[in-house]
Amino acid sequence: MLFQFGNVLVFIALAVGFVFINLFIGQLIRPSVPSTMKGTSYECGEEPVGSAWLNFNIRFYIIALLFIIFDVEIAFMFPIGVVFKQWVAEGRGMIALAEILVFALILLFGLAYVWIKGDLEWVKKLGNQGK
Amino acid sequence: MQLFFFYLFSLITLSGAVLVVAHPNTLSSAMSLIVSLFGVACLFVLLAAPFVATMQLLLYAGAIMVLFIFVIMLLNPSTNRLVKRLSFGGLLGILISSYLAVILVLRVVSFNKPEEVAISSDYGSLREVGQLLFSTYLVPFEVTSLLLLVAIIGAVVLGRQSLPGGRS
Amino acid sequence: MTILFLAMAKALAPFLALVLSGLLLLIVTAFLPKEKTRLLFYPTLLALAGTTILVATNWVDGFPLEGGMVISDRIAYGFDLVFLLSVFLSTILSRETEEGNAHGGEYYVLTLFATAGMVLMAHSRDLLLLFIALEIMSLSAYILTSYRQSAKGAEAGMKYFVMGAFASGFLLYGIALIYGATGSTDFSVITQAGAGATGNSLWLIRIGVALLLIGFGFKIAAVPFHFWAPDVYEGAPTPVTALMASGVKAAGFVALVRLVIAFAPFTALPWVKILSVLAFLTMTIGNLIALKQTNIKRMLAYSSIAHAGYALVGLAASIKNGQIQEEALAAVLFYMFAYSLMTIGAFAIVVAMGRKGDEVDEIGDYAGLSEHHPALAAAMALFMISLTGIPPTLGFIGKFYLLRAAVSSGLIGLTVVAVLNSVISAFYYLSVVMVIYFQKEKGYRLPQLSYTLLFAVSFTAMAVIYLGLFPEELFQVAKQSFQAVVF
Repeated sequence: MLFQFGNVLVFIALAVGFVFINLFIGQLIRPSVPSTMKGTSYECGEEPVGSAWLNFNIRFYIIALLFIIFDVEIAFMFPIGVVFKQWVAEGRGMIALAEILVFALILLFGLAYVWIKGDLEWVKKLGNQGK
Repeated sequence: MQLFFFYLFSLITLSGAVLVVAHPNTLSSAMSLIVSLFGVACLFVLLAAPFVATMQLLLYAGAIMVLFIFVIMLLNPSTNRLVKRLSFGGLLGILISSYLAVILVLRVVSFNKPEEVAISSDYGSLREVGQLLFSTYLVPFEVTSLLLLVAIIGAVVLGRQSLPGGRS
Repeated sequence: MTILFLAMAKALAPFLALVLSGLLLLIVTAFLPKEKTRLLFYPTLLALAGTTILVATNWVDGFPLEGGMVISDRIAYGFDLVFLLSVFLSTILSRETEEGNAHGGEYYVLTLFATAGMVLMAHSRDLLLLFIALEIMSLSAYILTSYRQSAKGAEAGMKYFVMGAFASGFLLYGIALIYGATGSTDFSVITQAGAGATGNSLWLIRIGVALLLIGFGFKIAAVPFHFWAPDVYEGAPTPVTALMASGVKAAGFVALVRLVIAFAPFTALPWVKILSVLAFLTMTIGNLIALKQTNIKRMLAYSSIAHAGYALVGLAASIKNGQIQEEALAAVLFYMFAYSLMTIGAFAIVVAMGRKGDEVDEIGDYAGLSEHHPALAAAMALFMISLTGIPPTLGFIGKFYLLRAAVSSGLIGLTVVAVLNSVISAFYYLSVVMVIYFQKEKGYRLPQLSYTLLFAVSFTAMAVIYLGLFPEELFQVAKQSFQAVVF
């Protein structure tokens, strides 16, 4: 198995190497004429306005956070999917199903809570909001 | 051969970790963290835990790092760049942690070389992990979902405070 | 297989009861309009009371249940009672503050989940489960700490979270080393494998245990892992502070007790020395810094550090020549119970002094309380006296049992230090009493007291007096919790 991962490693090494070798060759052969215009951010030919750093909506963050939590849930369910068939074949299918259901149900409560509360809506209704 | 890779990946992990602390730019620190987490994932592969390695890459280096960068963007670090100064507390921290590191390293170096243990070809595979989650580690597995639920509630409860400057 | 499940469910019954009621309240809270969420106060108390009855009957049954990684012996049930009592009382306090009223029912849900985490900690027979349970408790506590939408609350929550995550790192590293040495995280397997361990693996276990001690040291705020406590206690809403000082601390102690029972017999570490030094530092530094505090919540925070130190004396006394002394562990359990009652009583009065959404934290504000509200003043004086450890209060009895155990284990020096520390602590506790009775009023008007708050104050006050006079039965309960401890 380690050998298979060796392939992955070779690919990664090649990919990283590709980037740096190209950059290095480019560095060698391209002319160097720096100007302030070249240093500005690329905005499809438009002149950039203001700073690229700006505060963006906190709702991005909340939704990303909720996404990650459910992502972790799937990560936990994944290995169970692999052995489920085997357990069914051994006649322990109901037990396995119950185990998964309990796990998923607890998180389903979380999903229901977030949904009802309106936290999945992009523009949350003000009436529900904390303050 | 394995030993060589172990040291290689450890080097990647450690240098990434050092850069996280030492780099003045917050965003670059976050990027170095990805390197460090990648190194840890490689170490997991060496330890015959491919599932954990994959999850490390997917969840930590992928998803959680996105959150890190969200927060960095949210806090707008161009206006409050981190100032690094060596305070007394920092010095004390360095002393204590290097003391602990020396003790640990000395202790580990003095260990006899452990004998090699043969493991089944299935060891650490997805199937094996699933089997364990269903049987031995059933209670911690189920309880983890409660932990995640608490995290959901936390995200909602704490997130309802809108930060000054944030549009909502 | 099904039988195994039933056994597991039965062993986990208190935990399951709390989780189920929490889930139910979570859905209800999502549907309820914001103004009505305060109604969740009653079902929360009902759930806690029901679980208490369940735990109490199980304790009386006394038959240890095992299943999976769960152990339900009297140690677990005994500590469960401490958790449930402190959560019950601190929930009553929350009724009078902003958190319990205006900000949604999540407060109650998180309280229930935090309790479930504590209960599961007491019932874990496995380091991994112990860790997850600790995380459930801590995560809920972090959120509750910054529940109030203020800069101070956010700072407190942040500090608590960062320090807690740091402590979790120590715990995980320790668990990993122990797993590496023994191939298991189960206490009973570890004790068996550890008994035959030599050389490398014994050292790995020792380092692992040391890391676990550091991790739990953070949770109980033992010196030198205490520095987060004052800021967090001050910034958190007062009912949550009460919960942290009582329930969360007791949960840290149940983990330490399990650790001592599992690891002390075979690791051959200088346990008594380590725990004695920890106890000495925690008592002394907690009390010395408390002397200078002018904010009552900070003062109670340092006092809570000092009391963790007294309880650590009992833990140090629980090992004598590598043998576990049940009586000393019983004294620790008794002390956690006693301390929870007294400190929640004191925090109840802090809540009573504040108006809704506004806390009155300065000790100077208590001036003239005796003229204003003699009963409340008397109760505060009682709690202060009890925290000092003056007879005939519960605080005295708790300390008496601890020090008796320490003397019988031959820790004379530590006993003297503990007594001296009680004398030091008298200065700051009694100065509060002095302010209440002998200082001129500053014109602060006490708000109207509610029945729930009056109940909390009078219940704790009566318990402190009654159990101070007749502690024998309760101590028997604590003692029987530790009969024939094994893993």
